[in-house]
Amino acid sequence: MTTAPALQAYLDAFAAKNVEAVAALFAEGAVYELPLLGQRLVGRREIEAGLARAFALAERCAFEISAAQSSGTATIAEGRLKAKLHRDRDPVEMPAAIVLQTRDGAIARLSTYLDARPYRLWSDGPIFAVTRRSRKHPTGSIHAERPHAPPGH
Amino acid sequence: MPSALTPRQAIEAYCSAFARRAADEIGPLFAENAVFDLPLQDGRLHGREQIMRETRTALRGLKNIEVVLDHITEQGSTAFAEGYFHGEPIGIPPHVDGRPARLDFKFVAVAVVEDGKVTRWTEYFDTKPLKPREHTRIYPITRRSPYWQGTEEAGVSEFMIYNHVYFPLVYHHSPAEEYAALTERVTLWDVGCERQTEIAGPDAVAFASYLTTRDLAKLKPGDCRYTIACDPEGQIICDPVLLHPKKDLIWLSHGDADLTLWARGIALQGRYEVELREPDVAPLQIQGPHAIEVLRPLTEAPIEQIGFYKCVTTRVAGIEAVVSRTGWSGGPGYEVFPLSSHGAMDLWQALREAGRPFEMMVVGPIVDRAVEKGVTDTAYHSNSGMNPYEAGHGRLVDLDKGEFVGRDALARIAAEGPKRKTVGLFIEGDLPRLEWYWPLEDERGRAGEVRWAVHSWALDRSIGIALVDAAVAIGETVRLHHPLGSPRATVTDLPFL
Repeated sequence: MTTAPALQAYLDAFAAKNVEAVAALFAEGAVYELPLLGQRLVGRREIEAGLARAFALAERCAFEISAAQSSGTATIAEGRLKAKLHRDRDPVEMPAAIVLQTRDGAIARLSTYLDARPYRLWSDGPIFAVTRRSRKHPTGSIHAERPHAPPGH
Repeated sequence: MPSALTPRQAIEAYCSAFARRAADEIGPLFAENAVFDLPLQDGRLHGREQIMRETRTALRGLKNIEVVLDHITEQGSTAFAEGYFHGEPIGIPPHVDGRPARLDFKFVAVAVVEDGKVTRWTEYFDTKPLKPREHTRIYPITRRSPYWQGTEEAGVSEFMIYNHVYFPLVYHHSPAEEYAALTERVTLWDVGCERQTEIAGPDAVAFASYLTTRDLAKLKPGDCRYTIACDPEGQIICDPVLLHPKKDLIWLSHGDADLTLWARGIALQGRYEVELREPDVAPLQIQGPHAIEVLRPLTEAPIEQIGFYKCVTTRVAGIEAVVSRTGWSGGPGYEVFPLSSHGAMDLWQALREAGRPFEMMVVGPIVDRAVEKGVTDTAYHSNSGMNPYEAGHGRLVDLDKGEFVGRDALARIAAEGPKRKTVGLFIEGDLPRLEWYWPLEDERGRAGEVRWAVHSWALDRSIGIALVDAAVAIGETVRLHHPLGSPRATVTDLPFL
């Protein structure tokens, strides 16, 4: 798999909220990060659990990419993230850039550049950081957890 | 530099020039009609001129810049890059515990090049460190200005409590951006906390003269005066601007002191036929070289005819107000005092609209500029503890005008000579925030206190204003003690500019 198809595969799996399909695109020790929010997931298992948690917040979510380029193992894209969170009445839409690096056909690092400011209520808490409990039980039980950390956590 | 850049070269050249603060190298990279997009800030700059103005301001506010490009891709007319930015802001003093102020973030940049020039530059980076969205916790024991909603919309994040009112101080701009707006364009300040002690009645001028130190014998309606109110020991209570909007009416537009309560207590003696109150008058300041152009279309009275330290009662945007050519910027500007806070937000909106062509910025008082100009503010419970002679305001005391509060004490001080004086300081090195006054001493151990300390954008160095022993001479070296060390400073005259 070359980098550009890796991006497309990621975008498709993300839009389908298919956490297993997203996780399958990543290398074992991959990094999935939101650099501007200071949040990151390390390793395929953490990525799967974290994204499951993030997807649980959203009724729907998808990136619309306006342009993308690849060079060597890196792909950089710009576009918008469109999402409708369960807790919100209205959908949200925000500019975003994605940087993706592959190694041996798998995604080794994926960084999504989103602003922290306009959506504080969403981004203040961990969007996809896994809880202790879900670390112990990386599958199955995650979806049953409350999508929001209680205030103060 | 090659005359026709590829998109990749454009990104490399821009980042390299930015890191070296070489604004002159950045200008030629952009096409005349280029756009500079900051999607995460909802910002877009149009045209090379505007891009370069903002670039120069940004570079002026940053030092020790490092830009590392991790990945660059290029296809056709477009290049993408991911990189890391690090810089240290100037004019935002480091934390008092010594941690340096720093600005660092990862970013994605996109450059589109046509005919060798950048026509679109897009940068994705987080502005949260620059522009905190949260503001100080607010409690109902302190009053709000009637422009509260306007300052919230403008993004206020920090307040001072002043005359028992929340005073918006910090917005989402860097100090360099605010200084540029004040000195090159125009700024709007919510100074609703600047309260008026209203003295009304046939003895208004006489009572004001008794309460303050300057001679008011020649005061005519439409005049303003910078003056001082002292306590019986001659200590400064505050240094208000006196306005005489019409016959039998005086406003003392005062700093952080309970001047109206003080004045009401004095009026209880019954010697003056006056009525004292704090009216519902919350001023705004419009400061900067374009202030006159912002106010001209809104103000019924001809704005050109308002002289320096004069005022007129008129309508601004249809709202009854006193307009004075006064302010706290040490430069061109006006204050607008609507006669009631009913309609205050309409006035605010009208001013914002009128300011749009001049890119008027909503700011708090810009202390960096005030200190450069030697403009200060004395408050009874904090930075007073001094008389007008010590404050450098001896010219504002008229001992021969007749009886006034503090006169005997001031006459004695004038005869003996003041024990201290107010001077300027050129301070070595960068400064922490001034959270309380810093002690200083000269080589002979004579003590003093730094009461104002800022970065001077005009002089590109740290400056301060101190109250020192009267024997300390201009040109002398002193040593001051702030939370990060004990730098030397050279004593100088005021103002700095």
